[in-house]
Amino acid sequence: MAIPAEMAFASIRKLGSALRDKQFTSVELTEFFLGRLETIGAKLNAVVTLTRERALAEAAQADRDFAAGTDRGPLHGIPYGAKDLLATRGIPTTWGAAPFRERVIDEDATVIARLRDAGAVLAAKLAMVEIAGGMGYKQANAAFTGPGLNPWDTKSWSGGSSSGSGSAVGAGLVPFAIGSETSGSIVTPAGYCGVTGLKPTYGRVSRHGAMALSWTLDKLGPLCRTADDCGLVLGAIAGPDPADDTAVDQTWRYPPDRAPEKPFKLAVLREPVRKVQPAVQDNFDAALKVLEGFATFQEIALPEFPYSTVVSTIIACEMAAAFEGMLTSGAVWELTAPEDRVGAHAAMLIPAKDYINAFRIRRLIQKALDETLAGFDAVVIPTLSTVAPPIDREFHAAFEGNFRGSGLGVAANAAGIPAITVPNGFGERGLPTALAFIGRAFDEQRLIAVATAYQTVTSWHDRRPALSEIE
Amino acid sequence: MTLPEKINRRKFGSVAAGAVAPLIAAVAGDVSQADDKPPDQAKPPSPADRLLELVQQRYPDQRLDAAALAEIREDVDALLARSARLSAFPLTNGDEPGYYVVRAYRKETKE
Repeated sequence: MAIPAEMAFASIRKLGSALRDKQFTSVELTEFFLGRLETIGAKLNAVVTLTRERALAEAAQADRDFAAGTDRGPLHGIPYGAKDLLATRGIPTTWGAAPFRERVIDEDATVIARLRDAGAVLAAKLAMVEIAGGMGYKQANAAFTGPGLNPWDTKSWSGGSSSGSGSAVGAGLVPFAIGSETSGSIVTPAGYCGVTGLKPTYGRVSRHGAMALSWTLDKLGPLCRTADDCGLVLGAIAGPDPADDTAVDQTWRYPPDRAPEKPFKLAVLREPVRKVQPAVQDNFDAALKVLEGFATFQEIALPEFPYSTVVSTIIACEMAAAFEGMLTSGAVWELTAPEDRVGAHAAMLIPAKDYINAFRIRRLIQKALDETLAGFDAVVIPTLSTVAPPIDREFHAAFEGNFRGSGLGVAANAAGIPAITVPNGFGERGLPTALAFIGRAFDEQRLIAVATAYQTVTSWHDRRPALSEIE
Repeated sequence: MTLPEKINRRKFGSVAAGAVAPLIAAVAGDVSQADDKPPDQAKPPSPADRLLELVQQRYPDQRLDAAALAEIREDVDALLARSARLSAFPLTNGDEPGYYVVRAYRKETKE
């Protein structure tokens, strides 16, 4: 049976309903998305490995389960893509880096295993910035798969480091994808590609089997069409894991027994985000007006800490410990971005006291942010200051040194607190802009509730890129 | 996005001609400038120069050319600046690191 084209952009719930109504089978749905990954995905540099054989086997199993009356939940029979830093049995796991393009880590990461148990279908390993950006890349061409291209404008970047996860969901190549964030790597591609991305609380999701860039900052999370879909995926992948000591000893269920109630209490930053593009600001202001329909607002001040210094120091030190072998073996010289070949050397010399001092300040940051956010469901900010930069320029040159967003984004990573980003309009060159909700540790349910309320009364998440240049 | 914080990039040419040149000269054994002055007046290498030299000693590679060294020198400058910012932050003796929760370990065995 031919799958209707609009299903490429359907939510997980809608696809699941169609599977259960026998509108099509999981094998048919999987073939549909494999075809899009193979054609459009290749043109967006979004795919590392198409996992056709495994996908069709998992989809066939899902169809047999449905026929036998076995239902493993909302992800059952739904194809997805995984950032290529998650280990997968029998399939290469490249970390986006040429030296590892043939390497197989012959086990499934905990997240992959949990999605398999939930009946989801692994359709592709998705492109990423080499070593998750830990070597200090400065431009889009920093993976052996080429620069991640934005489905809304292929002359623009998809964002990183979960570049393939962002563009694949944005282009309707998979209903959802798993990305990782050390500092910005989920929310950035989600924001640039016009999709919804959830960065969970540190420890909410096991990192076992995921490439470690920074053991104390890495988080795994979903990129989806909607906040509701993010909840469904997080429900499948969250929870304790004996293989990861940092995975918190709490189960997490979605939807919750009791959903957070309106009106939501939201905070906005007193200090405006610097160098915001006019369209980003306009769309943010318009979104606040929408939120006023079901939320109250209060201004807050971001506590003063050297957030960027703390996060940069921690990433650099942990990256140095994790990847020194690439320097000693010479593998680092095989990386794609010239700056990545020499981006790790200096980090090898950071004194231990700097790392420890960063952690001492980090603890103060955690307490201060928690006190600041107490009493609020979330603080709302523009996810990024700008739309996606062009692929042919260094990031700093493209936007006069500013291509990020509020310092709160970095602060949130220092503290390990969750965030969700949702599309909220379009800006320069027809590229998406986005809105982020950041909450207290372990408040994912509140963030999803607020974001879902926003998406219930807006339609930005339903917009689709034309893809006419590449289809 | 995971971009380590760095000092804004300077033009490569000025870096190569400035910051790295003394190091390259020193590595090549060119001590002519130092020879012009009495030993007690010779200016010692800066911490950044020493660190850059240490990088070359620890991770020697023929591909560490002038351009590569200029990039690394920028990173060294950035790490020294970060180090100074961290040291300047007011911490008390009781401000412990936030991450390390060390517990005594004993593997569980069946009685």
